[in-house]
Amino acid sequence: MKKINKQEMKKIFLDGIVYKNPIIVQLLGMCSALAVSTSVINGLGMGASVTAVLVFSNVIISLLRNVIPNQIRIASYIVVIAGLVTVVDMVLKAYIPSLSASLGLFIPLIVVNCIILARAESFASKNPVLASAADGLAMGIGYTAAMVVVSAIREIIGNGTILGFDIFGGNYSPALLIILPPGGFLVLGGVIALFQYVRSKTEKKEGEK
Amino acid sequence: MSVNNEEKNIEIVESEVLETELSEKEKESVSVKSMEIPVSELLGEKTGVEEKKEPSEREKELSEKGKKSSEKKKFKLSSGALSKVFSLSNILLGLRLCVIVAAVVFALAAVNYFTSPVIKGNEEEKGNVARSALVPDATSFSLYEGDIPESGRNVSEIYVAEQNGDTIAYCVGITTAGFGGDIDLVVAIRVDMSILGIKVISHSETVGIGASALEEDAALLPQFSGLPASSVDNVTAVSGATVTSNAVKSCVEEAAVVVNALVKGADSE
Amino acid sequence: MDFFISVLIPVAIFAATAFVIGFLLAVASRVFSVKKDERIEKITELLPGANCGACGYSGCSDYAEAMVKNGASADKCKVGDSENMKRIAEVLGKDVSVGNRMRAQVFCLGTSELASRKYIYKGLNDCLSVAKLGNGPKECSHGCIGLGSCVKACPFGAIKIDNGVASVEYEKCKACGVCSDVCPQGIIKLIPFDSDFWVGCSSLAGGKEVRSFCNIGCIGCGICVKNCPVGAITVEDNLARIDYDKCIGCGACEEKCPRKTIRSGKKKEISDTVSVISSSKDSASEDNEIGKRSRFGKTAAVDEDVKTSVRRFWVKRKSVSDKEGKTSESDFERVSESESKSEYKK
Repeated sequence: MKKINKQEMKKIFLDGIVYKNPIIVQLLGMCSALAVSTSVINGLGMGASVTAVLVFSNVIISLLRNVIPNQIRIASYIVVIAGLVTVVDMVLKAYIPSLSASLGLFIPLIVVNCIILARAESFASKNPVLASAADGLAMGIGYTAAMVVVSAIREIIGNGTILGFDIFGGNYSPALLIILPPGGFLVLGGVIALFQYVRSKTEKKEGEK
Repeated sequence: MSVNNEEKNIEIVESEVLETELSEKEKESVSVKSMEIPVSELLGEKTGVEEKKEPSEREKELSEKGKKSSEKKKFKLSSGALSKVFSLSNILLGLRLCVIVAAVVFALAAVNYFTSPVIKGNEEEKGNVARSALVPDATSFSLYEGDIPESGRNVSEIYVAEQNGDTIAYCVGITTAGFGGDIDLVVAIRVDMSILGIKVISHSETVGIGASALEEDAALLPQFSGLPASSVDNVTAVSGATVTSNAVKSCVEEAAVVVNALVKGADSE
Repeated sequence: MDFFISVLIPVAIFAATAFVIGFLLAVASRVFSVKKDERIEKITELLPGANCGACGYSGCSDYAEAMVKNGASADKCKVGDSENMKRIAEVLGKDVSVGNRMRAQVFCLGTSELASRKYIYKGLNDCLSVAKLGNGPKECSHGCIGLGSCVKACPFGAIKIDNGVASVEYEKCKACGVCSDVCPQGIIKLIPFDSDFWVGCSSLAGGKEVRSFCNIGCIGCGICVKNCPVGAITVEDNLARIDYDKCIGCGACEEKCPRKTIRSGKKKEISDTVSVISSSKDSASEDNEIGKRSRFGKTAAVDEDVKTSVRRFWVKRKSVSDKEGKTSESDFERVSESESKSEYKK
């Protein structure tokens, strides 16, 4: 088994969380990101589910990468991912029914979330198991972090609460637009713009050094 | 350039060709370069046509090696075609996908085996809680096993609320189209056709508008408590959530029709 | 027992379905197989896979296809490493010239202090729009507008605007050519990476005119032409142009340019030895072998068939002493051959 060193691991994690953040940089899986990020708890829950599916699917596909012939590659990936998502769905319904109810349709939609198939195709199918698992974890953490940021903004402005706790007292009349779909686009766009601005500034500084 | 002073010694020296040995790497690149640049280029002449001919011939020779591996024969339908179709490699491919899918499905079925009772239990409990809240004086609920009347095509299930063996109310689970999607309700109606209450199981109404209209303490749902089923029309809709309110009203009306039929049927027995 | 029943039945159903589907996929992949050259896939894998488009094609697989089908040159990928490029060459079955690295060069030195303006511009920082207003705020209608459209276009961040004129950082430049396409004045061109000298002007206006609006512009005097030993520099339309196929990097043009328009890309000092390799057939010198080269001259790409020579320029260097009696050596100064020969023979 090809050994992976600390530097590579560090690179994988940095890539997943910052430089190739699936939502903010790669702009993958935005359907669920926009729809689910109406409250921090939902964001966290979705993030955790996506991370779980990512890690396991990456591991499985990495284990099978030399066994799956080219013609049935896509079919196999989809079967594995769908199976994993169904398992996650069943577990949630059984043990955390409230989260399952609030995430609703978007748990099954994880199957077609671009992030998972993209990482499977571009990373897990070409890299050893440990690296793939790390990559899945890193991407999942990046996804969760981005979701939490967006959800927090939307929940605070659009609902006056965070994690269910009122922060403005009872008199806050919420800006509903932020919770509705257009608000999702606006907030996500703003977060991406801010991130890119900060990134270009730091790159300029490093370039000048 | 020249110093503006007395020039004492004028030495004319041969320009020093300072030649240094190239490092290994540079030598390599130089030698490669030397092979690449044909004579004509050095002399500055343009030999476009000639250049093209030479490399292409060499290319042909060398690319033979590369191309051989990529030649594929055309597929012609012949008598031996069937054996080709059902060839071992095709079957093996099918088997491989079969194995992968089988493994995944096995894992899935196993998980399902363990979680589905829990899920069912959860749902039942949720339903029980809802029904008990709606009909507080019922002692037991039982699922209605009989045929649901024609008029109740949106009805998903009916529970019979009994108190000490007597049917006192019916809890009708009914679904209808709201503004943003289906609304699932449970409508509890007493045998005397008065509405006990409504519980919303699930909906996809717009947050702040339809959704707030469906909340327990909003203006819509409490209006139904104690209302006779015939006067559902008098319920005022929530302004701004007309579609949602009308959906609820139509649900209740339909539930009332069904319960009416059931009561009449029970009476005739 | 119940477990097995509830599990095995779905497994059996799905397994059977999967078998049929897999089988059909296998058959389909043969029936519908496109005669795709396997080399394209191999090359696509060897390429970095970034799909950046710097090679000029719409992605790595597109470039691979172009290489195999249309014979595109294999050195266009600037992002890939040389190891992989060699392997790609092997797959293609042809030699790839290692080297031939290019860089972009902005042919203008008219900073805001050196070039005068015809109007003051306050507006959108976009050279393309300002170009319509009489080719930019500078009086010189060919000069660099300096508002940074090239900076925005460069995907590698290799250009910057310095004092109103664009300049390329050679090391960062990957010679993708995007800046060259964007520049509305057309003064950014790709030249060989190692080329030492460049003419910092693109103005086609006559000498008198150029003198009136720019302190550094080329006036087309032609002194450089006279001094170039290989005739690599020519003046056309009042502008000196260097032919990089011929230029050997001796620096005579830079030395002689009265306006200091010709600049050295690498060195600031004027070369103090001039050793020139020319293709004239006189007196082939034994000194000239592969593996040796003069410090400031170009390498001799020598083929046995070509007689090259080291033609030495005669320079003199004076040992002078100043008033205090200290001796020092002056800079080199060129002397004519006859003068030197006579002196040398002494």
